[in-house]
Amino acid sequence: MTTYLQRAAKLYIGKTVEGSYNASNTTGSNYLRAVNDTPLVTIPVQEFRTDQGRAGSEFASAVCKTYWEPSGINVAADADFDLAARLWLRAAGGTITNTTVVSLLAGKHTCPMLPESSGLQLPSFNAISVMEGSGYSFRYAGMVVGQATMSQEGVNAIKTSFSLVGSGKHWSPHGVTSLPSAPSFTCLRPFAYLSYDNGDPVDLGAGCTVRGWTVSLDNALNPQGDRCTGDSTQDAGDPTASGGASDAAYNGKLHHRDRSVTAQITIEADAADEWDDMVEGVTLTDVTFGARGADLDPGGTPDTTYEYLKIIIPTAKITRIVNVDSDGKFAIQMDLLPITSGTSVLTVDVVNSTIGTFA
Amino acid sequence: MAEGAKTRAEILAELWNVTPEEAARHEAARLAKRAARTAAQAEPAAEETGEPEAKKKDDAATDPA
Repeated sequence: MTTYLQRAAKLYIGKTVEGSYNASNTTGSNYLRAVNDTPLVTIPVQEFRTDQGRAGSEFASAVCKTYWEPSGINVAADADFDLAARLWLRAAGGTITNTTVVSLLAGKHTCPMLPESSGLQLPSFNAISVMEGSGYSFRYAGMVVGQATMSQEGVNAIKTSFSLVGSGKHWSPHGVTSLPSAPSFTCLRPFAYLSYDNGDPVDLGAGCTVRGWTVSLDNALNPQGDRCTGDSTQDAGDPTASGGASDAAYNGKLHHRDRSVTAQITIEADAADEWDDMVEGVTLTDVTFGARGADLDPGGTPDTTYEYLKIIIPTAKITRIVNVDSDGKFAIQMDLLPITSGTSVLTVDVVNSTIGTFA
Repeated sequence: MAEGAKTRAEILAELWNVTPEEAARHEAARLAKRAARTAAQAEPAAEETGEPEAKKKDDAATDPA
């Protein structure tokens, strides 16, 4: 018997989104290796019902398999401008606008939240969760981003975390060859964008006052509520086979419900401008949370073209301010409420080295 | 502000359902009010007259033996 180290668990996320929900992606070059702070293999399990209590029985004596449990994968890692950017774009789910920033060197990719008029199905993709060499090798379809977060504490590396949920449709073994290796480890100094406009532009990062921040999008998925009579079924590890001992159904869609965006900033406090903004109900515009990466065009025009991942809340109000102790210093923690008269309260803005389509 | 993004006045106008000019006027009035308040706060506070240091009570002297 071979024994494996937990840290050898690998996760790959599809670089392309599914053309139709639950479509298969078996091309190795269409994947990105995800580095995960806590690598775990997601194993398919079935939901079932039993006859417990039926005909007066105290204990279960029979089990009927119903559904493959929605596949859950958590990804938490330092912010980057490829995988984390893609997952944030997919979490927002709107149409991505791709433009060129610097010819051949830098591209920009921007998207709002998915408008209700375009349906409730967020972009879906395949994911591979595997302990290579073992039998625990799975590929999941119909994955969507349930929750996305970006945050920073002090001057630590900016972190992103995602909660991915799939339909339960899966293959085992994963059956994909030539999968990519992990992205290289970069020694970039963390640099955060944190700003808004309250009538005057406010750059919270400029005065060394920021102690922490977090921005989060919850797509409020409810896979159980999306099940339908007649959902497809599959045997364990093979969607082309059904009716076997392991046969169970899987979701044919994964819709978002009422989404929510939360944001919080902790700063060392001086003037009470933030309190003033809160009590007067001032609308903050272009509230920006972001991570900066490498300069994609050093010495170009303009001098620098940094890669970045920004989450922009076009309009927000400060709803709550409390005093917190920040390592012995007087600081305030602000809660922000995104507001809108439109269909999106959040825009994902990415600049990286990909020119053209990026999803 | 991101390239191609709306100005603050345009965003507020959309949110408040007014013209961008109206939104800009409202913002200018608010900022003027805030500037006046900030200036008032910044005025030097009246100097304290220098309260004499409280005399220490000589407990020992008053302590009944």
